[in-house]
Amino acid sequence: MKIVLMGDMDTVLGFKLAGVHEAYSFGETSLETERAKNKLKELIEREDVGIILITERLAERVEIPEVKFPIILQIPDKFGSIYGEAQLREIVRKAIGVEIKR
Amino acid sequence: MPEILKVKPTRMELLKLKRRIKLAQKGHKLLKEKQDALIMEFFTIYDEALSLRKELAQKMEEAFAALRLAEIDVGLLKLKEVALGVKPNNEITIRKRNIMGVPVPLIEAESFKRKPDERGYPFVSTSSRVDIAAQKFEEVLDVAVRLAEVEETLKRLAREIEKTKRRVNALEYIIIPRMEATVKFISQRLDEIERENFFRLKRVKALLEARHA
Repeated sequence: MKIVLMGDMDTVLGFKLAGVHEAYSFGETSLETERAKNKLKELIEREDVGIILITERLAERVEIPEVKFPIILQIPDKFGSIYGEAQLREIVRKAIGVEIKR
Repeated sequence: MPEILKVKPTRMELLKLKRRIKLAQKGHKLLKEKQDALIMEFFTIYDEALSLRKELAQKMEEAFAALRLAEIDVGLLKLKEVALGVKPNNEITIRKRNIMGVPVPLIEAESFKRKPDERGYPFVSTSSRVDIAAQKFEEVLDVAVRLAEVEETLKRLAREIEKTKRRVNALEYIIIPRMEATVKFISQRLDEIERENFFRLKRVKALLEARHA
């Protein structure tokens, strides 16, 4: 199955060099956000997409629906990660009910 | 005081309820064990996800640094041109795996690292910096795919834990107490009826004796 990337221009460029199967870049305007939303919807419905990599900054603008398939993973971009480990911690907090520090 | 179920206070219902309580308690115990096992599994995977996240962030940083150098070397336009010519990498296979009855994905992927001549762009017009950038991003892809599997597993386990927790709590604090209260109500009611009957018999007997005497 294919790996698809959605993100800004530079991220797309880098992952294209690595040979990701499809990569789509989106700008900052609201029209582009709309376009990204539609693209994401389309990708989720497609059968041959296994993993969607999406930059955290883009993921913030388009809401990520809860789907079982494909797997959607948020990745940091050239400015680094927004959340760091916060997202993982949130999952733990919701599941166990307490926060764990180590 | 928990509310009671709407049942007729009969011996039949009492027996039925007692059986149901036993069943509910058995279910509660099983669910609790499932929850404990899930949480243990959850933490192992959580540790893995944390370290992979860190690795990904670090690899990304390196990759972007390398990309910047490549851009300086050959220029953005040229780099874009090169990127267009890169051959697509290996595809992945996603299978399903079961952890305690929770379906989680299992991604099978060969390493995305390739030799420079497998990437499919010409060496003539590029430099070694481009190769390094491509290699770094291939490494990122490797980590990202592993993280995708682990994080998805984590999310699904979390959802299952939440669901199990809700069930355990519902059984423990609502369903079982309610049935127990109902059992108490029925047995009190039955006792009451018995006492009534006993007294009625006594009374009739006394009346009969009074008439005969």
